[in-house]
This record gives sequence, structure tokens and C-alpha cells, in this order.
Amino acid sequence: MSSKSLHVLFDDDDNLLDAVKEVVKNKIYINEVYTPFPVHGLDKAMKLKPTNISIATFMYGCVGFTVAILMMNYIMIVDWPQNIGGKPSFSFIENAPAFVPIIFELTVFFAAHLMVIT
Amino acid sequence: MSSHYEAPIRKPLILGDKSYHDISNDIARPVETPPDKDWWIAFSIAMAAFLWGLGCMAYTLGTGIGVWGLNKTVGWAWDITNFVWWVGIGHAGTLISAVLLLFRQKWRMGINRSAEAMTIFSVIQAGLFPIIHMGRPWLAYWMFPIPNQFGSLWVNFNSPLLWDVFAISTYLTVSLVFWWTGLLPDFAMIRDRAVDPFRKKIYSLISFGWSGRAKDWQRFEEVSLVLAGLATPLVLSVHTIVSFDFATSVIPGWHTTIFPPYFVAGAIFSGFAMVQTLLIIMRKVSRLESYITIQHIEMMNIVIMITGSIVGCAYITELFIAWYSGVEYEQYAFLNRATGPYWWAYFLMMSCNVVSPQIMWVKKIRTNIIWSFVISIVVNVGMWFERFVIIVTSLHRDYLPSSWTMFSPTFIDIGIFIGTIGFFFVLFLLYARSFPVVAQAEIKSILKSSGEKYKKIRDKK
Repeated sequence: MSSKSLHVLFDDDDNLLDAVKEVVKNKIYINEVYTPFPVHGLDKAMKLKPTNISIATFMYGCVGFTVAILMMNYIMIVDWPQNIGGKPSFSFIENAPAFVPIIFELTVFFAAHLMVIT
Repeated sequence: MSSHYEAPIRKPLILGDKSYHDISNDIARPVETPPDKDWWIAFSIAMAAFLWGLGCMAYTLGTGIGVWGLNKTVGWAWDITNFVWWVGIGHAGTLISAVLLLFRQKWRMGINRSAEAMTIFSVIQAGLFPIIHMGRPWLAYWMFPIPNQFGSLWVNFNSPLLWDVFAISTYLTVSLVFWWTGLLPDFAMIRDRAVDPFRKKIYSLISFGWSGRAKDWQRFEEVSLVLAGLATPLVLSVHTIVSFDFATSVIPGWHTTIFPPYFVAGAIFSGFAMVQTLLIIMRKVSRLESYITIQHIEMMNIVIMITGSIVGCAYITELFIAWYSGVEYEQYAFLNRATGPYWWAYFLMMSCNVVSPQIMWVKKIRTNIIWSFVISIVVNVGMWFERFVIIVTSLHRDYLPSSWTMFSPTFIDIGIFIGTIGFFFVLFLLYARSFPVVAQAEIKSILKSSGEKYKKIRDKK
């Protein structure tokens, strides 16, 4: 690789995209492209690797799902089962319908926040 | 130009002869110029209302919940009415930004930022009510399942009120990160334009060092899409869970399975009305008519009309099911709503929510700014009365006629409600002066496909 480097400015996104395609075709290394707004197709033109963030998010969601189930199982079934409004509290499965809303909320909570942090 | 093709049948979303730089100028202008007199007047009124509300809250907390108009039969009234009203208003913001993003509706780009701001500010107002109603808000942390010194005393996960805690806090925080993620490039734009070093410092802190690399944009778009995917079921779940507060009880008029979809439709309905109210003023004041066009207003009016019809349909279904169920108490609850002592509230609800949006069928009216503004206010009033009707009329005549009673609010009830409206507008006015109120990075990405100037160039070819 040569040690020469070029800084190029464009005032139009179509020109930029065409130029990037041309440069990539000639196998010249592009260090970075800065744009003030998203230019669609730029990541593919630059041959950037697609991001794995959606897969990571799915796993974060699974973590939230598990945390919610373990927490409620411990609190409501194992540690101190109580008879609340006659709802069955002897096993997790019997009490599960009442846990669905919180399981859902925690799944979303974990997925969204952990994704944004990463 | 081929990559920016859009069907000629679509009307331009950005009016006027705008270049990329014009967009930056237009959106940064309210942030970079000092506020004018009108802003200060509006801000003072909102602040006064907020301080009045704070006084009423302090009085409530100092003296006790007895200062409200509640009694033994009507144990829930304005507090929960206001709570549901504010949460409902919040729903439109997420709907606009998340659901319309998934459906690739480009008209959302002019309005999503302000709608999300409205979501966050109104959920804050909603959250105040249950916290004040606790009477001892400094113990609010008892709502979380934290190991404690009272023996192993835990919160009750079977309770819909606890589901609410989780739903609302998840909703508030997820909306906040969604909003802020979208704001990063726009804060960075203001940072790069700033001359004042202090301003530059602030905006570089809140833009988290955004630089606009191609990789950043790739991640940005992926994160927005996944967040939208997560926020869509979330927004539907939040009002569903709010409706569970009522639906899981055994009060006639509450104990119905129609509540979740009915509440969600009502939430979208009232939320769009509030977005309409705010944006009609904002486009004028901040001179954003090129980005928030008549077409945007018309689109929102269509959503208001459709959700208003869904809500009307739900009202009628409720009446039918009450009759068809053969349950005496259920039948009486609905008869009492329409013809009992609170008939006027029921009448207001029906006329504001079911009848008023129907005039939007006329194109002249739904593209008229004054009409849209008036109807949006009427809908907001109507939706407040809907919650009041559901809550108070079901409670005030319960199973035992000897405990039948009426509810009348005290000035503290009214003061706290006015205070939250003031607080909401304080936040919104501050936002309008310090945040980029239109998602400029997204607008720029559709300028070539949906801008009026570029459409004209294309048509000539």
C-alpha cells in the first residue's frame, strides 16, 4: 500500500457515492467517509461489514426474559407464596398468566437499553 | 438521480426551494436566536400554572389525600383520569416514530422529533399522579422488588398496578433513548455550527462525540430500526396494561375484555390530537411551514378520524355487549352513564370523540389549519371526559345503593391538573428553544426524493 493519502470533499451525495464505488473498484483503501446525513448504500459501496447488533439485541432480550422469570419465580413462588385474590400461587405455571406483562416489559427493557449502550 | 426516484403522484414533503444548507439554517434558527416576547409570555403563563400546581401538590402531601374530592365510594377520580389522559397522549409520539418508521412512511420525518418530545413530557406528567396519590412519595421505591428489611416482603406481581410500574418505566426510558439516539446527529450539527464555546461544549457533551462516519450511520440506522421494532409492541402493551388496571377488577363497566384495544385506539386518538395542537402552533412560531406542511396536518387528521371511528365503534360495542350479556349490573352501569347524573359528561365524550372527528371526511376541513386546531382541542377535551366517564360513573353507583354518592373535585384536584398542563408546556417550550425540533439528518436524506425543488427538476426531464 502506498503512503500517499487524499482528502476529498463532495457537495453532493450522488457524486460521493459514485466516487466511492470507483475508488473501491480500483482497490484503493478508504480510511473513512464522513457525511452529515445518512447516504443509503454507502456502507455497501464501501464494503463495510453488516452489523451484528440486531442479533446481540435478541440475546439481550433473552436475558431480560430469563431475569424476569427467575425473579418472579423466586419472589412469588419460592420465597413467600401468598394467596392474593384467590390466584393460584403453588407453582410457577399456575401463576404464570399474571406474570406475562412483566416478563414482556423486562424483555423489551433489557433489549432496548443494552443495545443502545453497546 | 435514479436512486432518489419517487412516484410523481406523491406530493412533496419539503416545500420551497431548499438546499441542504437551508435546512440546517431553518432548523438551527430557533436554537441560535434568542427567544422573542411571545415565547416569554407563553413561558411565564406555563410557569405560573406549574408553580400553582406545585403548591397544590405540596398542600396535598403536607395535609393528606383528604384534600382531594375523593370519598369512600369514589376512591379514584381526577388523579387516575389525568394519569390515563397523559399516558394516552404520550402514545402518539412512539406511534409516529416507531410504527411509521416500520411502515416506511416518510411523512413522519417532519414531525417525529416533536411528537417524541411530547411523549416523554406527557409520560412524566402521568407518572406524577400515582406518585402523589401514594401520599408518601418518598417511599416510591417500595414499588420495586428490592430486598428489604421488613422480612422478605415483596411487591405483588399479580397486581396490575405493579404491571403499570414496569410498563410506564420501561416506556419512559425506552422512549427517551429512542429520542436521544435520533437526536445525536442533530445535536452534532448544532455543535459544529456553534460559535460560543460554552454552547459548543454543551452540545458536544449531549451529542456524545458524534462524527458522522459511514460506520456510525450504518449502526445508527440499524439501531433506529431495531428500537422501532421493540417500541411498537411496547407502545401497544403500555396502554393495554393501563387498561388492565380497570379490566381486571370486578366493577361493572370496567370488567370487559374490549378494554385493551379500546384504550390503545383512544390513546392514539388523543395523542395525535395533542401533536396536532402543538405542531400547528410550532410550525408558525418557529417558521417550519416548509417541513410541517398542510399535507402532514391532513395525514394526522386522517389518523384522528380513523381512530376516532374505532373509539366510537368501541363505545357502541360496549353498549351492545352490556345489553347482550344479560348482566343486570353491567346494563345498569351503561344506562347510568348515558342517562344518570353524569349524562352531561357522557354527552361531551360522545360528541367530542365520535361526532367531531367525522367532519374530517370533508377535504376542505381536514386541510384547513383553523379547523384542525379547533378539532384537536375538542378531541383532547373529549378524551379527558371519556376517562372521567369510565372511572367516576362506574364507581359512584356501585353494587350497594346505600353507598351511592357523587364526586366533585376540590380546587386542589383542579390545581394539580392545571399544574401538570403548565409543567408540560414549560418542558415543551424549553425544548422548542434548545433542541433541533425537526430530525434534520433524516429530512436531508429524503430531500432529493421528496423535496419540491428536486421534484420539479425531475418533472422537467
